[in-house]
Amino acid sequence: MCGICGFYSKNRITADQLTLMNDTMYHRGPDDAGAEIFPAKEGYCVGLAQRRLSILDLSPLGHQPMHSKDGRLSIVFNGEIYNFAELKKELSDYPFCSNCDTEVILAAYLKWGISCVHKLCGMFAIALYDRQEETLYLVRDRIGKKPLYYWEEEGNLVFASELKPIMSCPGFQRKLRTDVIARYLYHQYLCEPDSVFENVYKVRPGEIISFRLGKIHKQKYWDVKEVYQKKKGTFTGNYEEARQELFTLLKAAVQKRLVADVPVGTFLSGGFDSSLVTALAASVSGEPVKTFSIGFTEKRYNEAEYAGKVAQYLGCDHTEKYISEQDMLSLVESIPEYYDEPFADSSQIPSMLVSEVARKRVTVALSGDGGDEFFCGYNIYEKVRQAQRLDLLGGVAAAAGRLFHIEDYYPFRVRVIAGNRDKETKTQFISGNYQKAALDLVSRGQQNSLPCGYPFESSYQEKNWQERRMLLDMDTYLPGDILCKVDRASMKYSLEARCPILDTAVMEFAMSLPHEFKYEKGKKKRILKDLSYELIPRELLDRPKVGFGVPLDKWLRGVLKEQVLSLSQREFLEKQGVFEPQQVELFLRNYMETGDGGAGSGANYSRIVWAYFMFQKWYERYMMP
Amino acid sequence: MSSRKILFHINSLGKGGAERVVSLLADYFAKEGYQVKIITLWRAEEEYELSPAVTRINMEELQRKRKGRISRAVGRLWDFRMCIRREKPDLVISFCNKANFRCAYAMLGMKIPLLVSVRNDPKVDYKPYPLATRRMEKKAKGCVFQTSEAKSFFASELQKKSRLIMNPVNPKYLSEDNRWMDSPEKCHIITVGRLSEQKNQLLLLRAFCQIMIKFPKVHVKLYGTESNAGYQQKLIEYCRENHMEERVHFMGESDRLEKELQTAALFVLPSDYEGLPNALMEAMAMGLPVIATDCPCGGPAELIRDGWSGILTSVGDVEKLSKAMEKLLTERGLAAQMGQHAREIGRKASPEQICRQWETYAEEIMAGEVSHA
Repeated sequence: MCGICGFYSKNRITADQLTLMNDTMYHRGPDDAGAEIFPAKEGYCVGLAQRRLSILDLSPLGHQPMHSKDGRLSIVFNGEIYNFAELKKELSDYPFCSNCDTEVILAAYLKWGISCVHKLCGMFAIALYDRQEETLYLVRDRIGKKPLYYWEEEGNLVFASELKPIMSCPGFQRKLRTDVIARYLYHQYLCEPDSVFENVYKVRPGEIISFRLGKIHKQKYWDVKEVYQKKKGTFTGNYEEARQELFTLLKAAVQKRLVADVPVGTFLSGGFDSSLVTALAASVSGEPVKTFSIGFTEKRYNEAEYAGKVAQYLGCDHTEKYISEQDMLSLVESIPEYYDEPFADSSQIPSMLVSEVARKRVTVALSGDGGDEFFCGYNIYEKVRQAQRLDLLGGVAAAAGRLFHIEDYYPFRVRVIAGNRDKETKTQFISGNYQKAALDLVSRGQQNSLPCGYPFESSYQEKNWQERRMLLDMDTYLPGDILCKVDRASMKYSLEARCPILDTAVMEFAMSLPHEFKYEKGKKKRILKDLSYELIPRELLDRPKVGFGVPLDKWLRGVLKEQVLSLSQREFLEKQGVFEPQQVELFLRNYMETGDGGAGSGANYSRIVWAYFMFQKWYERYMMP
Repeated sequence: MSSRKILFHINSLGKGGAERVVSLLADYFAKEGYQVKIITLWRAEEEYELSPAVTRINMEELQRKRKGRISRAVGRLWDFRMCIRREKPDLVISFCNKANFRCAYAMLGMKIPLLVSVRNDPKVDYKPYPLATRRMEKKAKGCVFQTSEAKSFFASELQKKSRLIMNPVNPKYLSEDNRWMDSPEKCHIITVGRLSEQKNQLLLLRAFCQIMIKFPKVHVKLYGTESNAGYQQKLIEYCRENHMEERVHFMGESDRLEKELQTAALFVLPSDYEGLPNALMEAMAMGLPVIATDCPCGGPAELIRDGWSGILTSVGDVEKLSKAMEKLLTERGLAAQMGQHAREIGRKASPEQICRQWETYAEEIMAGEVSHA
C-alpha cells in the first residue's frame, strides 16, 4: 500500500518538484520513494512517483516506478493484487525478477493490453505509461478501495492518491467548486467523480482513464449496474448451497488477504462482519490471529467487551484499547491533514484510533467492510422497505397536503414519506429540512448547487427499493464514505486495510443471489449471519447494532463551540465567499440554542454542523495564505 | 404430650419444595404426639413418603363425579368443607396460594383457626387474585412467610400476626460426610430446579457461553425435569446454536443430589423469582460456593450475604452472572471460603430448629394468643 502521483503534461515540472509532491504523502509509504520523469512526444513529459509501504517483497526489487524489461512500460501502483501468484504462472514467459505484484501487472499488460485489468483481483490504483502508445492509463479497482484523483486542464494531466500532491503541483490554482458544497454538507463526503476543486476529479471505481497527448478517454471496466444486471438471478441453487458457496468464496478471499511478508491482523468490532472475517482467518491461519478493537469508556457505545469475547472464543491474540472522549477530541485537529478533501463522517475518528492500535503490532489488517452494502445490513434498508409499502399512501398524503395546505403540520416521518415523490431519489428520502439547511448555508446554493440526492435511481432498473438502495450505496456511500474513511484513517498510521467481503468473486456472488437470501422477514444480512453462527456462538453475536459513537452534539456546543463560531465570523465568511453569512449565523444560533433533535426527529442537525466545521477546518488548513 | 389434631392442606405431595416441608412437618408433629392428617387434591406420580403415623386423605378419591366446570369447582370446595367438618381439627395449616384460598373460602364461618404459608413471589402468586387474597388475609389466624419482601406485600393485619420461618434443610445435606470440599477435578456448574421460564436456566447457559472457552474443562449440569412444555427443547436448541451441546448436560431428576453436588465447582441459581429456594439452601448447607440472582421476593438475598457467603447478581443479567462465574471459577480459594461461610445456613435451618419454630407458633395460634411479630 502506498501513495502515487505523477503527470502527463507540457508544463515543466522538475524532478525535485515531483519529489516534493510525492513527499506530501510520506505517511502513505514511509519505507521507500521514487520519482522519475520521461520525455514524451509533442513537448509532453511524463512523471511518475511513488511512496512505498512495503508489504510484499521487501527487497529493493519492489522499488517504483518500475519498468518492463523491454523498457516499453513504466508503472506506479498503490494496492495489492491478490491473485498475482496465479497470474505469474499464467505469464511464465515473462522474465520476472521480483516477487512483487507490481511486476505482474506489467507482464499482464504486455500480454493482454489494458484489458488485463479484468484479470486483476484486489485493490488498486494504477498509473501505467505505455511509451509505444504514448498513453498514460489511470485505473482504479472495481469498488474504489484505493483512491485516485486527477487534475485535467488545458491538455495536461496530473494525478495523485490524495489531493495534497496536486495542490503542491506548480501551476495548480485552488479554485473551489461551489456547486458541490451543499451536497457535501448533506452527505458528509464528496462522491465520485466530483472533488472539491474545479477541474479535479476522482477516477471512478472500476474506471480506466487513458490520456494520450492531451486527449482524455474514460471507460468503465466494472460497473455496479452492469454487473448486477448480468449476475442477477444467476444463482439457481437453494439456500444451503448458497451458504456453502459463500463460505468457500469468503474463506478463499480471507486466505488470499492473509498473504504478506509483514505481520497481518484483523479489526474486530464484535459485529457480524468483522467477527466472520476473523473467524475465517482463524480457521485458515496456523497461529492465533492478531485482533484489534477499541472500547469506549462510555458504556453505552462500548462494544469492546463483545469483541473480546469473540476473540477469546476464536483463540485470538487480542489487543484492546480503551479510549476516552479526550482521545477522540485530540484527533480533531489532525483530520484535515489526512483527509485532504473535506470529509465529515465522524466515525473517521474511532477508525483512526483503532488503526493506531493495530499498527503497533501489524502492517496489514483485515476489515469487515462491505458486508452491509452487499448483504443488506444497514438499518436504513428496513426503513426503505417500509417506505416502499407506504409509498402509495404517501402519494395520497402529498396530494391532500397540497390541496389543503396542511403539509407543514404532518409529523416528520409522514412528511418524509409524503415528500418522497421524485422517482429518481425514491430510496434516499431526501428530507426537506436537511436539504434546505444545506442549500441555504451555501451562497446562492439554491440556484447553483447540485441536488443533494443522487438523481439516477431509475438507471438501476430495479423495482425492489431495498435492492435499489443497496446498489446506490455500492456506487456512492461505499466508495465515497466508507472506503475513503478506512483508507485515510489506516494510511495515517501507514497501515494497510484489506476487505475480504469486497473480493470480486464475493461481490459478484452476492449480486447473483436471490434477495431473500440476504433479507428475510426483518432479518438483515441473513446469509452472512447464518454463516457467522456456524463459526461463533450466537450468544456472542446477537445484539442491536451500536456503532462507533462520537458525541458530536456535545462537542459542537461545548469544547468546539468557540472554534466553530470563530470560523463563522461575518468578515471571514464574506471574504471566503462560500457560505451565506446571514444564514450561517441564523443556523448556528438556532443550533447552539436547541441542539440536536436526535435521529429520526428531522432535527438531527449536528451532522450538518460537523460537516460545515470540518469544511472550515479544511479551508483553514489548505485555502488560507 | 398433646393430643391436638392438626390438618395440613396442600395440592399434592409431588416432589417440590413446599411439599417437602409439609411432609417433614407432618412427620415431626406426629412424632411429637399430635394427630396429623394431610388433605391433598391428587396423588402425584412421585411423592414424598410419610410416616405411618400420618393419615393421608386424597380428595380425588372422595369426590363424587360432577359435570360442568362450575359445578365441579363449587362441589370440590363443598366436599373440602365437609371433610374439614368431619375431621374437626384444632388447626388447619395450608401451603401455597391455591390451597390457602381454598381453605379461606371453605372454612367460612368455622371457628377452627387457619394458618397459611406463603411461598414463592406474591406478585406472581397473589397479585392476580386480589379478592381471594383479601379473603385469606381476613380468615387466616396466622401466616408463615419465607422472606420479609414477601411479607411486605400483604395487608398489615396479616403481617402483624405472621412469622418469618425458613425452610428446613434436609439433614442429609448437613451431614459431615456430604460436606463439600474443593479439589481440582471438581469442575461442573450445577443448577437444580424444574426446567422452566421461572427458573431461567437459559440465563445460566447464556452466561456460560461467554466464558466456556476460557474454562475448557467446565461443564454445566442441569438437574430437574421440564415443567413448561417446550422449555427444554428451547434450551437444547440454544446449546446447538451456540456450539455447546457437549458442555451442557440435562440430568433430569436425581435421588442422590447430595452426591451429585459433590462433583460441582459451583452452584448457580439463575431464577427470575423464587420463594426461599430449597435447592440453594441445600447447596449452601453443604458448603458449595453459590451464585444466585437477587430475585423477588428476596429469598436468595435472605440466604446469601453478597460477597461473604456467595454472590448475588441481578435478575436476567448475563454479563454480571458470567463475571461472577468467572470469578469463582478462577479464584478457587475465595470460592471455598464463601462455601465455608455458606454452611451457616445449615445450622440456622436444621429441621429440628425449624420444626420447633413451627410448633411454637402453631401452639400460640391454637391457644388464641398470637403475639404481634
